[in-house]
Amino acid sequence: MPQSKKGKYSSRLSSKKNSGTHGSFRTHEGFYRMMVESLDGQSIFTTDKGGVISSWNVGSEKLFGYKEKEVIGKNVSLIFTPEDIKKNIPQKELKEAKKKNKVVEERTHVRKNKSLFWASGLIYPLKDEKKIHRGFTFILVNRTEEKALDKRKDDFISTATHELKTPVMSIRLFAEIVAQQAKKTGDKVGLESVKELNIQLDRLTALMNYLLDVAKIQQGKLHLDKTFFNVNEFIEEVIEVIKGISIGHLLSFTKATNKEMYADRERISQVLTNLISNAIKYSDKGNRVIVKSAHDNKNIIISIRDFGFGIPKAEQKLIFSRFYRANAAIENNISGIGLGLYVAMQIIKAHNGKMWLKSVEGKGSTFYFSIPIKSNH
Amino acid sequence: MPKTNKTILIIDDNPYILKPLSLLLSGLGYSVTSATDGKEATMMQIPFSNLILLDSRLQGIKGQDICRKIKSDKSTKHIPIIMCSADNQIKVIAKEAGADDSIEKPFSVSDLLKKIKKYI
Repeated sequence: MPQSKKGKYSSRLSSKKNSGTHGSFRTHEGFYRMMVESLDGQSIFTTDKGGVISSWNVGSEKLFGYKEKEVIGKNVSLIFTPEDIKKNIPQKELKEAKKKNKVVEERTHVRKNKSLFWASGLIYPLKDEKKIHRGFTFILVNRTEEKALDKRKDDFISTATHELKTPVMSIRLFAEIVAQQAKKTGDKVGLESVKELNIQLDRLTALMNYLLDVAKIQQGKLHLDKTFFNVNEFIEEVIEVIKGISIGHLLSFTKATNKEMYADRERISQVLTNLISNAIKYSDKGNRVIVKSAHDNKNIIISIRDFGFGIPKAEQKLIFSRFYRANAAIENNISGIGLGLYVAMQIIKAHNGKMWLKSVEGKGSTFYFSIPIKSNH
Repeated sequence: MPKTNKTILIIDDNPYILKPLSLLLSGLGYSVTSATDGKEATMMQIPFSNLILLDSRLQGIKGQDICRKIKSDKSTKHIPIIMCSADNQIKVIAKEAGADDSIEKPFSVSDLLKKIKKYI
């Protein structure tokens, strides 16, 4: 039991400390060494500020195959793949860890014998008592099997969803035949039923597309077909389609730029549609939804503001995760599967853009996304 | 239903698509012929078609190969081809094969009709 173990350690610590015979274990380097070495399933090591390895536990020896004496003094890039080194990933990660106080490390690493494995873990900046930055601590675990399992799951979802397309197509076609017959005979109930059937088929198709998008994102196969287009014409087009299917909200559009955007038009349309639909879904009828186009030095920024339920601070980061559903959605019985924002965020990231939000509970939310400006001249 | 004298050839090896699609398009007044492969009998029907709906995944042959064959023959290359597939890369596949247009399954019937009417 982890809890009782923790309790045991702390009681041992305090009794030793109180007895005063061996001094404080808390400051005893040997104790920490023992603790780190006992975690032999995890690679724990430190580097200096430049990434030169300064300590290396037994778990690291097991995971990477290098003995401590072989790596001390070497740069941490030796555990990265040549592709990542080329992209300067090791230095970028250290920089980010320093800036953000922690970075999640999930990537393929290389062992001494050149074999590869999928590692998952964290990099923390290492600070001394005076909070002066001295280096970094890496904590890595081998997650190759879990990663493979995850891939099998994604492949399964992708294949199963793909196989659903043909029966859905078939149902659509037969439904249309029924609709035509109903039109001929003036069968109103029949026509109404086919209309409902088509709405459900649209939902099913949208759901399937989301699942396929997620699988594609997970496999790193999100393909972008970038072109230049005018940001305002594009937004007007999206708003026009949404107006056609949604009544009851006042959709307005503010133009603070007239730049050309370089992006995958269909994918960005998917993002914008998702954000406007959310603004509509999460606010009461009669409310305003304001879409705005703007730019700064480097980016085109599109924002979508609503005056709805808003998102509590604690939920704001979570809403971009896979399958996360906002409490407001569950409480208000709003349909969805918790993939829209995840997919939207990934599409924007694939464009080297950013997505963020400002929200006050009870007052509403504004979602923003930015796409880097590219000159077409 | 508006009667037309246009002939649409559907090439799809899935009977659950072929049957309703044929029924539907003939219900709309088109004359419909169908095939499930790229064999000689199918190729014989091509010169008599005004438009071809071509699935990309057929048993034993790729739709894009049939497309290239039609588009490389002087006597048939003018016939519009709309490639359809559940593959979301169909736009790219169709473009590479020289097809005139493409549509991803499952499509809505109105979207398909819009595309057909663009050509015939």
